[in-house]
Amino acid sequence: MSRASSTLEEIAARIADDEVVDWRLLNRLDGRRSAAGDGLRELADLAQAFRGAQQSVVRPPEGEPIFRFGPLDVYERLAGGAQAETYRAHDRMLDLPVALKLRPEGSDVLAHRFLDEARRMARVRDSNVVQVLGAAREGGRVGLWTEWLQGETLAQESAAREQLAHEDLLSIGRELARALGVVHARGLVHGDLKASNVMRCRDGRIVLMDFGCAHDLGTQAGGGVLHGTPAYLAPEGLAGAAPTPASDHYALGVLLFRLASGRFPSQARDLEGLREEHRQGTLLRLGALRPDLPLAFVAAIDRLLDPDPRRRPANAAGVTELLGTAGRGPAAWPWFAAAAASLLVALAMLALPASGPVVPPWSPGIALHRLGGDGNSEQLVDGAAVALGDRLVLKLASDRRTWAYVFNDDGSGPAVLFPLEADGQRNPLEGAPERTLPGLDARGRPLAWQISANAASEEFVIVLADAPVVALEQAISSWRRATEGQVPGETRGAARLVPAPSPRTADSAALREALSRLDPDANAHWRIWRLRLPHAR
Amino acid sequence: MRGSRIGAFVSAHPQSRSDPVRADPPTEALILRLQAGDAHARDALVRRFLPLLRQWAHGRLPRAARDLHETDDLVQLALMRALNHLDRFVPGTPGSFLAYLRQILMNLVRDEIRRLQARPASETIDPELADGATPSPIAQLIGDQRLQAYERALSALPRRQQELILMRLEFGMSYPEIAAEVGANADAVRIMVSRALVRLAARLRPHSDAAEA
Repeated sequence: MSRASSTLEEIAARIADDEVVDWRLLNRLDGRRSAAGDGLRELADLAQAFRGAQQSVVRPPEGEPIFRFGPLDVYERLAGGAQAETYRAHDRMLDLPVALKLRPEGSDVLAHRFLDEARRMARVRDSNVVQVLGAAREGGRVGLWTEWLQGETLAQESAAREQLAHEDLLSIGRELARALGVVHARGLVHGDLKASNVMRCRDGRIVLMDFGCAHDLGTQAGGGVLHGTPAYLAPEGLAGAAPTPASDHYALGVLLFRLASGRFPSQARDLEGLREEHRQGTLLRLGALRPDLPLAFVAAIDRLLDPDPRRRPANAAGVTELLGTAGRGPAAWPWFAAAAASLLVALAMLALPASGPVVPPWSPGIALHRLGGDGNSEQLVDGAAVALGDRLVLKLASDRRTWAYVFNDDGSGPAVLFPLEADGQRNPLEGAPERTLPGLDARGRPLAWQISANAASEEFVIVLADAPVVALEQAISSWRRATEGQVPGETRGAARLVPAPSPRTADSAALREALSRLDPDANAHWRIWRLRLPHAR
Repeated sequence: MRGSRIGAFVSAHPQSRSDPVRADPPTEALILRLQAGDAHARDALVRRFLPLLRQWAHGRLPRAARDLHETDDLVQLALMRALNHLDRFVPGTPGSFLAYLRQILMNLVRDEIRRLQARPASETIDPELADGATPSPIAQLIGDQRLQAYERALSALPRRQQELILMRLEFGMSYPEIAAEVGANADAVRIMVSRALVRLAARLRPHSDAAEA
């Protein structure tokens, strides 16, 4: 046998035996043989996949069970508490490994209450939800058993890996959205979605577990008692409201936030601190902690964490769609946190009514950038300094046709930066994961806004809507009529620039008045951001 | 119901050269006995192949069908079909019965995937959640195309080599178990498996040399 063949067989044997392969051995091979080496690398991946699936099937432990319960041989106590003890067991009838949850002797939980969890779980059958296999009452003991899941909880995984990658986050988010959708469709609210209640199985499944806090939709969880885990509770839950699908979606947002950043949105140590952070709106923002994540993903998490439950996705399809749009687009920028905070302030000022329409899942995002001479651009956070001559562009992400309105006010009165009357600078804008305003000139060259006058500061107000905003259209139209005959400086300066302000004919109060006429009942269809940028001294 | 041989199957990874060799009759002998009407032989075959097939199906079924009961149903069905229609099985090389079972089960899995994809929306919990096309764990890990390329490359190998690869790679059998199945010693099986894998690897890259024949 040739040396080359021997090398290949040695590698193949190591792949078959799940041993470490020294791929440098392939360097010994000539060109023709090394091509077979590529095939062995592929084979190593395949073998790993087959092995993963094999390991996910568990056989009963050797030895005698410590006791029997119903059809189960119980082998090992895994954990215990006042309310439940869990064991590793084997179902003799089904010939399957199972996890047994037993009511401890001396527990003050009524048997039928303990079994309620099993009954609720039995209503849900989905590969992303742990499957209950049986329940029994025997010899004064009450227990339920579920499929045996092999893997790590997301809490364990999060402890080992502080920040998960974007693709991983999306995949977890989608699978859990699906799981919650099935739970909600069965008339249940999970009520305690958190990292330690989600298992990533060895076969790749993401599985929602522990229905101990679940309850029927539309029922009160119980007289002012908080159910669930504080860090994952939505503000309305902290205020005593019964859990709802929207509060499960909030918990999903907290979980994804934690997996993405290694931190919770709130840093409070107790319930009162948590409530205070919600009141003050001082929760952390994901965009500031993970600026590398796509803008749309950050916006999606912000939507899930919206303090107003009506603005969170109403159902699993909404969450899935939200996360679906979050798989694309440019990275987020730290200033996004500030911009989102501005949005919240603006919405609070508009005094939303107590009830409103269900919000469609729309999460547009924006980012203001200063262009550098080297072709790079720099993010501009709220409060960042700007200077005369700076060239600015606005990046925006939206999954649907969008009407954009961009205003600039340096104290001398507002100017409309967008829309303009020039071709290519009009509404609507087709949905795109990334689009840059002001856009391109007639010859297809990129344009920017240039700061062309000294002032104390520049304020940018950006409104995105999924339909024309009548109040703003009317205001812009009236301002335009007032400037007819004047030369709008749309091509002034360097040929590749659109200079900032068109002639100022309105005052700041007029812009505020126009913005105040945005219809709060249609708030599902528009978003507003404000950025104040002082001039450098 | 648990005999020592199920334990031997479990201990397949990663090292298995020192595993005890099975004392049970070879599969071929059991098949002949079953064909002669021996019910014990049927039980022995079920005990031998049910755990292997269940494990295999766990990795190959699409998510939506990979409910524990459904997986077991399909595996049970595949095995019963095979045993009830042994006349359709043409013994070739030792180990071919497992490949035959795998083929039956794979057909059932394909039927199941088609059934899921054709399932009317009203049958699902929520039309928005219908997900018949969710890939199997293995397809999810390596992708459908790569899995299909593997299947194609595998099917182009001589039957004996296909069976060796199936037993070692897909079913996770130890060398002594494979040796008992094919009537050789474990060390020889290890070499045969390695050679089969090198040939498979060469076919996984169409432009590569066919390596050792």
